[in-house]
Amino acid sequence: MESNTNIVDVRGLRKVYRETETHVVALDNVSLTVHGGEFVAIVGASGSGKSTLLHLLGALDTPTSGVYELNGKNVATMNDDDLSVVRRTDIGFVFQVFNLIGQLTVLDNVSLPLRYTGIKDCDAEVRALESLTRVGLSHRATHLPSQLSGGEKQRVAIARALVIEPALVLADEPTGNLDSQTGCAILELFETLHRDGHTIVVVTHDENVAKRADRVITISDGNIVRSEVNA
Amino acid sequence: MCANRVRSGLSVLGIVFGVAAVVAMLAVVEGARNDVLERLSRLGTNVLFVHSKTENSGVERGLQYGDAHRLAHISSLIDMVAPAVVVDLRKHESVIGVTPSYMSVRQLFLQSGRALTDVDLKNRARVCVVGREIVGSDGSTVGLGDVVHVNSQMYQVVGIIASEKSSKDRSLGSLLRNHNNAILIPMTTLPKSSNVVDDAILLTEITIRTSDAKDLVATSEVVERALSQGQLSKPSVEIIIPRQLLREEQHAQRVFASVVGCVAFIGVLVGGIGVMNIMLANVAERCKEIGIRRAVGATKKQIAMLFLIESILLTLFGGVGGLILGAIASHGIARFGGWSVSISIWSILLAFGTAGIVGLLAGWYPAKRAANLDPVDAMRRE
Repeated sequence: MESNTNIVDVRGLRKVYRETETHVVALDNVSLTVHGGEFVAIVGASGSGKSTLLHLLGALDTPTSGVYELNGKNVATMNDDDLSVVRRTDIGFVFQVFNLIGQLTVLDNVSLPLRYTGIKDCDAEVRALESLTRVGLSHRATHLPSQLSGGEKQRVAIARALVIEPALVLADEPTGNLDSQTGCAILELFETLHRDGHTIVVVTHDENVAKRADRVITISDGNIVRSEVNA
Repeated sequence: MCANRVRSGLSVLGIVFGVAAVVAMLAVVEGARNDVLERLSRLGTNVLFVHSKTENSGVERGLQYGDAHRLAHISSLIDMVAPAVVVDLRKHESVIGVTPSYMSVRQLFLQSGRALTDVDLKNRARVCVVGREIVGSDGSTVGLGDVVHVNSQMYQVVGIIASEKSSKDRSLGSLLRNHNNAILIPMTTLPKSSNVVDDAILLTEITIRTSDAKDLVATSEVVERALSQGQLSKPSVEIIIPRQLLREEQHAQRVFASVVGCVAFIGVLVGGIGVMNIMLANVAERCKEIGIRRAVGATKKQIAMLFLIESILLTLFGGVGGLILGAIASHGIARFGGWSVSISIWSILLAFGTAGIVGLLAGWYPAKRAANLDPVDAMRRE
């Protein structure tokens, strides 16, 4: 399912956090490309810069310097409003702690990104329900997140990420808060998405996750030190 | 907001009391304005009263028919003069000795029959014009041609006065009398009166109509001078300009309204601070939610609007509560204070406008804080 088109094209990316008197270099001259339909795992020790890279790739933060093109758009130089548009049209986020809004129903959580795009409420609900069906949770649409198990919450989060038909699915330790059996089920879901042609970048410590990826990128001290293609 | 109903409810109490005070204040002001307009329309904006301050005992000179006669011709400012002698002979009913000009100056209209005439006055005709609530000896309302007894004299009813709205007026007292209970008889037929040309008939009052409402003060000065000129003694009278009396009453109501207005301002201010406080607490508690919303594509403006709308809704709920409380308070003022109150559509709009603006101002800073949160930092907070 992999194509030659670059969904992610990062060149010389640098992120420096300025504190009162010191500068912390979180990423230094990082370059990478992710092809359409590719499943990439980013691994590294804590503090290596992998989360910073994920936030930059997710348009939640802007780099200090460098180029970041997502689906042909130069994200690195965008203003805040344009970054919001990119997040709700091109990027689907899956977080370790699910990040569902407790007061909203499962259906409302999943349709949330669509509501910021100006889609009619009824259309948003139809699409959200379709997305929930894909992860096998349409029967839980009216429940609150507190009524779901960890695995179900993560599947809802995946449904929310998929509802906008994103160019790139980003996942931050998607199995980190789940037991091994539930984690396996979530990974199988990611593999299904991969087979369906989704481009996926996962940040993980979990070797099982990394093994299922097409390619594993290792980060250390803000630099990419290794990029290996899994057999 | 919904998650903390009690806290939200308590925070808008200030708005409730503030808006209630605004509504009550406006109801009093509006009621007073309507009341003044209604009373002025009944009395006419161009009348003044010369009211006798002595009884008809004669030790001190009272207001006399001769005074009225002279006043009618002293100035072109005076359009018409209506002398009257009020004798409360009957229980709950007034017998008023009048001249034919009385009904015209007092703006009384006939429902049926005819008015008193100069001929009735001259002939001392035992006829009368009565209000609609006058009852005969058999207890039924009198009609044209019926006979009423005044001081054991019989008077035939020749006219019925069209119904007047009754009034519990305090400042204008007997001047704004209820003619529904009045029997108007020719002044010359009153007990003890001798003759229409007898200038010494003691009057209760003279109502004077000026050509123009602007001339009231000037006319009152002319009247005062005229009453003392060419007479051995100045009659003991009081000159009353209803418009001025009403202005004094309006002034008292304005002072009340100002005090209530200050209470309203403080209430709304405290309410606004309360709402701002609750919204800041909301932002602090919902940091993670803000981060999630930003992560899935909400712009800063959309986040700010979320909190602004919540703040405005909160204060509008307070506005509804305030409106209800204000209406109850206004009703209480009307009932126990005796003031007229009126809740107009404008006061309702102002109440909601005030609540909405307070919501906007109180929500603006918390909304700005929420919008400016960094999405990554916000999602990390618990």
